[in-house]
Amino acid sequence: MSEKWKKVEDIKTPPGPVTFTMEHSQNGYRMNAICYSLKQEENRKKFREDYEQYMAEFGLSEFEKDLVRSRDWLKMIHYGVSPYLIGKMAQCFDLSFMDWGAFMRGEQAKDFMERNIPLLKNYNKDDR
Amino acid sequence: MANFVGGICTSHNGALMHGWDYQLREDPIWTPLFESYDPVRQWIIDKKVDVLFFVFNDHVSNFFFDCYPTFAIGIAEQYEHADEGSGPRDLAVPYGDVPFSRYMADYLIRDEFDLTVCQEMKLDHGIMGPTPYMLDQPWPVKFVPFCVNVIQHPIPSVKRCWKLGKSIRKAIEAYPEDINVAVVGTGGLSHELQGTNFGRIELDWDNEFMDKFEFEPESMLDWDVKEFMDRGGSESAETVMWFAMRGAMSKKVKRIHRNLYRGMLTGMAVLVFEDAE
Repeated sequence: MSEKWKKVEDIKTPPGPVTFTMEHSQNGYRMNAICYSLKQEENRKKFREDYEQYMAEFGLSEFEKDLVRSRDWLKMIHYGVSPYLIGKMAQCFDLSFMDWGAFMRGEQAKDFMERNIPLLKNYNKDDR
Repeated sequence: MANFVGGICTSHNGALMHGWDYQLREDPIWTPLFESYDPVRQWIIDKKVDVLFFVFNDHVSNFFFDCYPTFAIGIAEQYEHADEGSGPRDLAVPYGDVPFSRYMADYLIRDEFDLTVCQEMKLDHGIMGPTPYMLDQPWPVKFVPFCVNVIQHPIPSVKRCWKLGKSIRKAIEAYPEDINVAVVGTGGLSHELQGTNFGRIELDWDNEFMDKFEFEPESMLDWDVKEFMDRGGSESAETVMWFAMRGAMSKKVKRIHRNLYRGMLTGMAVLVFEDAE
């Protein structure tokens, strides 16, 4: 699967949902592994200080490094990075779950949240 | 003999962690969500629940894809809180019930559920998201965590989880100690986190689902997981875990509580059932 992409730009991002399968999991294995390592505070600190060095020490391929550098979270999802692990990396770039999620929609978290905040309430049949 | 007192289903998500950790109960946006768990807390007290058996999923907080178990049960004396990015949360220690956990693992494996048995497990928001809303601290109950893979597809089917619930029920009722046990299914309802429809929520389906779940759960047993994902978004695959709770219940149930709150990214539901007959 990874063979079919030479450059990050090659990763297609058709609209709609992605189902994280074993194939995604195998494809994105090292990307997922580097994100998983960030569940430890000392690693988060190192990543924040110099993520280039962190990636080099982790032994990511140039393709994978470019994918991190792109911070294109939608491409990462299509490549096979689990959303729960993307969150751990995004956080080290000072991006919230809403930030990288809204990015996939092609919008800013601020706009997404402003639109949705008025909708936050109970939706039981009796409430309407 | 142990007593099965009923079942709870609840969503779990990051918002529940945020709302609790920042103590947002008095914020009018958050108040209905907090209040929706008050009847659950009271029910747990009234029923003198000793142990909560959680059917939940980990979010790559404890398990990694090097070895991702389909079904895993914790049999530990106590559990740690996972670090989901901001350090372990400041919550009371969840204690296990080792003899009961070990008994359940033994029973379920003999009943053809081939479990991974864990002596250590770090618990993330799959359990600890909703728990502070429905229990005071220090926790008045012991925890049995039963983890289901719902994130790396293929995942267990609705029917498999339903049968798991039936087996859990039989096991509880055959346990020789006099304890009160409730089964909790966590996850769902509608949400989609992967792809361009990030934030998709389907409230009409969530309400319809809860009707079917209460009155005719068997009508959904042959559904492919994809059916839930199509109706409620990619991450509503988690809903299969609710069927472990429902499978543990009698055919007809008495609804004690039900609520649906629209969160920022999730149809956030909570309900409590007891056996009707």
